[in-house]
Amino acid sequence: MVTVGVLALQGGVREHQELIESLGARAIAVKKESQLHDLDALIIPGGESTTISKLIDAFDLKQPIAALIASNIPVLATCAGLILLAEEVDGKPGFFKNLPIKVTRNAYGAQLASAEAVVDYQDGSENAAFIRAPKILDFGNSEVIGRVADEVVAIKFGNIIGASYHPELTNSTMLHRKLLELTASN
Amino acid sequence: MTDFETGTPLVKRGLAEMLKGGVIMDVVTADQAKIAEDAGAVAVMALERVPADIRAEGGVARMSDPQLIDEIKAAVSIPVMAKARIGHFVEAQVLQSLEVDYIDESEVLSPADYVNHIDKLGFDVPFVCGATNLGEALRRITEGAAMIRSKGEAGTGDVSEATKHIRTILGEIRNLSSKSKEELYVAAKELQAPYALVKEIAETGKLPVVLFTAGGVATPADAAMMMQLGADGVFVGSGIFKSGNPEQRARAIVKATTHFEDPAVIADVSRNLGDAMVGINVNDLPAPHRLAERGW
Repeated sequence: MVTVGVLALQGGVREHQELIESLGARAIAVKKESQLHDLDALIIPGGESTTISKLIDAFDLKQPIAALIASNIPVLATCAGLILLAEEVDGKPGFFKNLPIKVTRNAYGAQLASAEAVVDYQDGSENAAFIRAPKILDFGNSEVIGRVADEVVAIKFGNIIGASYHPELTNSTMLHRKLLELTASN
Repeated sequence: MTDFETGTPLVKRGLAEMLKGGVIMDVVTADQAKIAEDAGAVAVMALERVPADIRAEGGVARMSDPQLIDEIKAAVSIPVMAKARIGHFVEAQVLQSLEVDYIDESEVLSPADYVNHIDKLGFDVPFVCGATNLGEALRRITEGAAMIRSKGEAGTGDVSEATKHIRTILGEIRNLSSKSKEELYVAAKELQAPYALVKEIAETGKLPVVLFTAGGVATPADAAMMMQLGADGVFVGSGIFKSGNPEQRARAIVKATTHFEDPAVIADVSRNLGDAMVGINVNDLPAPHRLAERGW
C-alpha cells in the first residue's frame, strides 16, 4: 500500500490524512526524522509558515526533509507548505527553495479577505478555501495546473505539486489524486 | 474579486483549523508580539493587560486601544486576535474595522451584557468564544462562533479549571455519541442547545469547530497535558510574559505542544526554564473573582 507522510508539526494535518485515506492509501503524521523513512509521498500542509519553519529548525528536520525532497519523492505542498518550498518569499530567499516560484505571504490581506473560490484544473473544477493565502507572483518554469479566473493558484514542478489554497478543507481530491498518481509512476 | 467569496462559515472556521497544534499567546506590546512570533506562536492575542494584571488591578476591563492593536498588527505576520467584551457588539464592529484576524468575545474582560452574547453570524470576521461545558459551547456555535476555547480560570497559573473544562466538554461529547435517537431530544433540552447541532455532534463525535484550551496554562507540561486530553491547541495568557524568562518559556511551550505525547521532549524543554508565574490557587479565589462564571 502507498504510504503518504503528512508533516505534522502544526496546522491542518488531520484533513490531509483523512483525504489520503479516503483515496485508499495510508497516511501517517510525521513529527520525527525516523518517520521520514519508507514514505512514498510527502504532504507539507497548511498552518502558520513561520511557526512550521521554526519547528523544522528547532527539531533539526531541515536537512532530512530537504534530502527526502531531493530524492525526487512526490510532494504536495499547500498554503504554508507552498511558502516553505518557494525559492523567493516576499522578495527574500525562501526556506527549502525547491520550487522556482516567487510568492507573497498574506497577499490578499487579513482574515477578512479569506475566501472560497472554484479552482479550474485541466480535467475539472473544485471548490477550495483561500485562508490568509499567499499569491504566486511568478511561477517561473513550473507547469500551471490550477487557476481561479486568470490567477495562477496551483503549479507542478518535477514531482512537486504546490497550491496556494486548502483543497483539504473542502474535500477537494484533485491534487491528492495527482499526488498518488505520481507515486505510481515514481 | 467576484471569483472569491469572503466571510463564509468555511473560511471563518478554516483559519482556526490552520492554527491546530499551535500556541496562541497574549501580548501587550509590539515587542512582546515579536517575541511570541519568534518563539513559534501561531497567533497573538493583542490586549492592554494580561489577565493576571486585570485580576490584580481590578476595575472594568475593556477592548484594547486601536492604536495598540495596529502596532501589534504591524509588528508580526502571524494572525492577530483581539478581545471584545461579552455582548459588546460595537467593540466587535470596531475590531472588525481594524481588520483583526479573530475576535475573542471574552469573559476575561468585564461583560457589557449579562443576558445576550454578540450575534456573531452578523460579522465577516470570525469569533472565538469561551465555554465551560458542551451546552455553552453549542450556544456560542449557534450564535456564530467559529472556534471554541475551554475557559479555565485566566490569570491564575492554576491549570485545574482548564483541565475540568476540557474534560467536561469532551466527556459530554462522548456521552452524546452513546445516546439513542430519542434520547438526543432530551439531551438537546438539557444542553439548552439546538437539536440539529446536538444530533450532528452525536453522529460525528466532535465539535464542528476547532477546540482550544485556555486559562491557567503556565508550563510546557501544562500545555502538553491539555493536548493529551484532546485539545486542538492552547492559549497561553499570563503564563509567558509573567514568567522569569519569557523567550525561553514561550519556545518551550511551543515545542511541548508539538511533541505533546513525548515526555522526553517535554523534560528537555522544561530544563532550566526559570521561574514560572507565581499564580493563585483557584480554590483561594472568592466566587465573584472567578472569570469562568461570566458567560452563559
